[in-house]
Amino acid sequence: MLRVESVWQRFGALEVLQDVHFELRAGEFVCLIGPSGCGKTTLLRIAAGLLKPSAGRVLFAGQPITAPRPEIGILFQQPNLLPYLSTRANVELPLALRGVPRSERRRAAQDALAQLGLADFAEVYPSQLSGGMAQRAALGRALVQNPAVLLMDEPFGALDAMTREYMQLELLDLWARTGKTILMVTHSLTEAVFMADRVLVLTARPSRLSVTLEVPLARPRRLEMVHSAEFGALVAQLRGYIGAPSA
Amino acid sequence: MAQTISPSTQTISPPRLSAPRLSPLRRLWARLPAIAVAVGLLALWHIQTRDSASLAFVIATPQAVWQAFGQLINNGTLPNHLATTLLEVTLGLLMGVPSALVLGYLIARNRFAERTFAPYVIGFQAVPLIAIAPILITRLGGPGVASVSVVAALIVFFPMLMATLVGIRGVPSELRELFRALNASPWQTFYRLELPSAAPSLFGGLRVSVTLAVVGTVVGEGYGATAGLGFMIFSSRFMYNPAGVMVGVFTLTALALLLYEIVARLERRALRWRAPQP
Repeated sequence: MLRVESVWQRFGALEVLQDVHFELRAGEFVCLIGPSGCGKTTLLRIAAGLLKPSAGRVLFAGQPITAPRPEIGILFQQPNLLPYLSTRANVELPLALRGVPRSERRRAAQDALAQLGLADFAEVYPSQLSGGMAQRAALGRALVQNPAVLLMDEPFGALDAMTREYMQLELLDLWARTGKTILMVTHSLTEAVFMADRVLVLTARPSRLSVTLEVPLARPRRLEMVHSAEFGALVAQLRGYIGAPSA
Repeated sequence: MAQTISPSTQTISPPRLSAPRLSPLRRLWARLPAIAVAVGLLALWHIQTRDSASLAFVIATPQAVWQAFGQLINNGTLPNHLATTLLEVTLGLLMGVPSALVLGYLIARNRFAERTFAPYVIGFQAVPLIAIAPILITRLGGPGVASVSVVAALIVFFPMLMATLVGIRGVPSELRELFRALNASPWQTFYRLELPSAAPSLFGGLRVSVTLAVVGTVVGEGYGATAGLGFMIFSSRFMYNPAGVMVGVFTLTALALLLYEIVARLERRALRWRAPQP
């Protein structure tokens, strides 16, 4: 589905990514983890077509990505909603920019908002939304183009613990229903294990892909799985790969 | 755990967007401090002019000004001068604001434009307008509506340019990245992102600009103009008619307040998305 082929990235003298390659299979949920500053976001921006790699390439359905495309949605750590547009108009934005007729994009936005439990907040400005609602609206905006691949850059990093748990479950549910391919950057080991089929581990800068951890936990994932011995062992294994001091 | 509850949507209902309207009495009450200041100033003025006959050529009493007001309105002098000034202010704004918007945008977005123009724009701000106004006016066909409007436009230009710079540079880079991720064209980025994001700053610049445009016409009319409120003030002073001066000053003040209020209302309409102020 999405294939990263020996991607290198340097900014001046700074070597950020070294020969990174992996592939996302259709319908897979993959998490990308690594020490802070290791180039996770850079890799995501390259995959989204926002940044041209110094060397290597990214293929979507066999075609090299040279610019952002609607089949690949991206969700940032911050909701990045436009403060002067209503929640609905924010969700409509990708369609409006593509020139989709008003009635059609309105219907699509209403659908997305309803699915995310934001129907009552359609006409409210983003300043009136809570952090979780704002990020859900941003998710709606990423989904309204119906992308096959969703790239997420620490999407829940700015949320409080309770909202975060709720959003994780909601995202897993959405993923199970729609069969999208998801690549999610996170710095939380437990989040990576809880969400992913597979966890890709990047080393410290200059980053290369060190290992891939398969997560054999059953689906659907449930919150209480976090307390199982199997889950704990996976997290410990992941921590060992990263070399982070165990808490 | 089979069922999860949403911590964020359960109990919250959508907030109302506008502040409740105040009753007329409450609004009057809110205005009371400003009215008190006016009364105080009027009293001070009255005391200052009450028994100083020697100052009669410099300061007029409130009553004299009031009478002069009636006279100048009735004989058509004030409406004529006001019309001229209004025209000059309008033309000055129409020339100064758009050119500041265009140049400000260029400087904000283009390194080459910044290197080329920024030093002159900033340096020009240090040139006293009084020094170059005579040159401008003789080069622009002598005193008259055209040259005075240009002086007003020059005064308006700098604050509007700065407001544009601040506004356009203040567009968050994450939002620019979002627009790139959505493949927005430069024009879409301008009118769907840059313009609305910069709007609060642009309106700030516009508030300053409309009042400065009024000042600009007075400066411009100081060099041989034969009409306008500035001319009326200068000629009244020349004829030792302090009441005429004060009538001109009050009319200018009222004009500036009116223009400011118009901008403020436009702003409130355009920026309704900002959280209602408590």
